[in-house]
Amino acid sequence: MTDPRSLESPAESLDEIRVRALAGDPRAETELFAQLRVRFLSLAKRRVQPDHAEDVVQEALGVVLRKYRDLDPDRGILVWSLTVLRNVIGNHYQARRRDTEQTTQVDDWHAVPEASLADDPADPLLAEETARRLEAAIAELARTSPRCGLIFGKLLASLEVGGGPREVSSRALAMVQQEQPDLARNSFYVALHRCRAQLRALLARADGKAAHA
Amino acid sequence: MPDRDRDLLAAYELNLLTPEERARFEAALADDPDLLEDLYAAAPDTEALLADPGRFAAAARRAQAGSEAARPPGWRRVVERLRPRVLAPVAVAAVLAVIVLWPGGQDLHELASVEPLPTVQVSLRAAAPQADRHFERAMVRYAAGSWSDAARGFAGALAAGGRDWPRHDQAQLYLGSSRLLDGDVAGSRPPLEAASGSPLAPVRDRAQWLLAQGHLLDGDAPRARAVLAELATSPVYGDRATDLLDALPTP
Repeated sequence: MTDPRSLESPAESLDEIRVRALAGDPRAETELFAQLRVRFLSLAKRRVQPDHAEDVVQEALGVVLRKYRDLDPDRGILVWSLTVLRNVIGNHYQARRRDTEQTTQVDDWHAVPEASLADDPADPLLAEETARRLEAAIAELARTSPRCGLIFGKLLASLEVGGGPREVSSRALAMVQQEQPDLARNSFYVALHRCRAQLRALLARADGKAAHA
Repeated sequence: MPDRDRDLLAAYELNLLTPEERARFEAALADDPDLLEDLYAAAPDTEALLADPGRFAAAARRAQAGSEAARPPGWRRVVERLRPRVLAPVAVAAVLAVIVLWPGGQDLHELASVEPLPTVQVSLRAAAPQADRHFERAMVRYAAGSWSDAARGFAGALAAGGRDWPRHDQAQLYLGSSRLLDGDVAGSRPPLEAASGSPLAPVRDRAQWLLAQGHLLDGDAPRARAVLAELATSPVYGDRATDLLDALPTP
């Protein structure tokens, strides 16, 4: 008989499964990679030709398998592993682009943002580029929406201090409430989500400008 | 996915959820491909935020402080009300006096800013091509500030690697930067012009920025202006390019 609790909320998050895998539980590692695979495949199928999707996913999972033990325990494995997938897809497009002159079968690489990702050599430059672009967008957000600037600023400052999830968010909320007493605990994440949407829009606008330069 | 779960996206990304909330969000994510797309699209930015939250908190703080400072105090509001009628003619007269009395225009050299680029960590595999080995050694010299040695190394790497070498554009950028830092402005131009055509935005933007600095060092304001105008929309160099354009003497 199915445990009714499993229908309401799954037993474990991916990060809890990761902890078990790191402790040496082989079933946990299998489960972790099975769950990542499903998500990777869903994304890869939208980006590369169907007969390449499985290869791309396998390559990305291979990278995750080699590196996930070194991942900071405070970082979420899903978001991090999605950056791995992005890089693998970017490299896939870069390789296909180099082959373009020799083959007639070409993916529509211009339509996929990560197709412009550099191969390994430019990684440090790209990381700094990402950081500067993000810094500019956050500054713009703080200027155009002081409330969002306050929320992001305090939250990031709290993340810098560190601690568990509840500790970080409670500390940030307390700091925000000193200047915005109307922000209640139960609406904090909703406000954060709306500010995130504004930040994404600013980043998209900046990327659009850069793309048309 | 219900809105209440979707609203947890930012909190999930920034690791603010309890394990139970994370598990619930991830389960809901499985039924919402658009939300997974959103998470995927933002993943590099999320990783950057988490890697150095203090840097971005400071950016928000500075911008907020700047906005506060930009609000004029009481006395300035009075002055601003007077400006159109009283102060504008005074300002025009002052500008005219500067134009008439200025001895010879602004020195373009003083506007140029030539700084080393971030260095690149190079990890070589056992069977790495010769060009990569040259590049790695040149990068060590670049990091040590031995610009002429670094320039020779990058030139050697480019000769060994050829046009199809994956680091070609990057090596052109560093060759140009090395020569510029070494004071060889003319020699920096060909590699920087080559790198400024790179499809890699970080390489292209940096090459254009350095090209503009080289033109300033040459006293060639029109060419500097043309390159800076192209950079004005860059997310990284846009503000600096615009500031520099504003600082250049008008043609």
